[in-house]
Amino acid sequence: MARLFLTVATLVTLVAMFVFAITKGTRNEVSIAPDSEAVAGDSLQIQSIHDIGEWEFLTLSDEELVDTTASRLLGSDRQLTRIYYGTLRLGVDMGKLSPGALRLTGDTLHVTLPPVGLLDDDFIDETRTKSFHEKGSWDEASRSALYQRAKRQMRSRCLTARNMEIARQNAIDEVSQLFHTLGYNYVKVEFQP
Amino acid sequence: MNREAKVDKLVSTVKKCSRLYTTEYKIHKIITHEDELKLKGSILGFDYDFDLPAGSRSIAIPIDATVKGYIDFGSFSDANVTFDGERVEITLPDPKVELTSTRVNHEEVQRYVALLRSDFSDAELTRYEKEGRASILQSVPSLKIAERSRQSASRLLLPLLRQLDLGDNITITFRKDFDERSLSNPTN
Repeated sequence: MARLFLTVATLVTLVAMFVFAITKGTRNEVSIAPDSEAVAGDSLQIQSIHDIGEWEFLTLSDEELVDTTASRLLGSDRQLTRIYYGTLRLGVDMGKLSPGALRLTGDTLHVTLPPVGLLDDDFIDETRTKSFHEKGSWDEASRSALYQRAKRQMRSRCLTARNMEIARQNAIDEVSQLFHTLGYNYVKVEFQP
Repeated sequence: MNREAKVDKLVSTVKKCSRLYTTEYKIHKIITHEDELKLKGSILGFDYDFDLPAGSRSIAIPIDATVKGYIDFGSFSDANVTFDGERVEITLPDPKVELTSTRVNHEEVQRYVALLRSDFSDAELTRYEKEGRASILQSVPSLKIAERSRQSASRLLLPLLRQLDLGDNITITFRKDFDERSLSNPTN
């Protein structure tokens, strides 16, 4: 008898709660969603500090669209397309300056600079990369291969004979101007072979 | 749009300049991200919020960055040089700082993706990497790179200029009211 009473009482309570919830307009909700934590990281580690002497005379800002596809046995192909950004800097490495680089002959200052070239082979800003299209899942090795392809494309597009010549001519203009400012009216700028 | 048409739109820009990079910092940073799959809601006025089992993801992305300090000779003019008899004083333009490259160390990326979750998408990864980049740029002024650039510039230029007939009569100075935080100019 007591058991029957307890069951009825429980049912009545549940019904009452249900009616209360409906009449008071209580909303019943359910959601499944990822709860993100902001990107975090340890403080910066300085791995090395160096004195350098890279004199830049031409800046080439480049962006390259690079993609890769892979076939699947079943279903459609996978595809990954990214846009990489890089800045190639052409100039002279003053660390390669010869001891007699500055030579005064009469009233003419002869300046012999190291050859013009790419100052730093690390020129891609990979953390600026845009993800343009992704179909399927890709591993880190694939992204590394895309980076290398982007680098080759940028070198090929930017390291042209014409750009090297523009950098050389600008080096002549800028170095001449600098020494004119220091009081040398006749300046001849040449490059090491 | 075919591929050639897309590539044609990505035009490189060419700019003449005269910048002397005098110091280089190699920096390493690991950025991390984690998230949980949560079951949230309310029923009969009672709120609930708990993590679903096998619903977590986490990733650690190592980044290497190169930051360089430079003197911009594009703004160098007669105003930077003072002649006083035999003596010549050169006041170099204020040093600046630039983030010249960043690279994700793909071989050392660590990730954990639980059973109920999809893998990190490429768009998510590039977003985390951009946030890491912003964090590096924020830290640049505290590294005092510009101050070191001044010293490096003097060490580089003085021996060179002393090859001239002016000899030891050349001195190199910088603007006196130098403030690292205001002068650091990380770009890109």
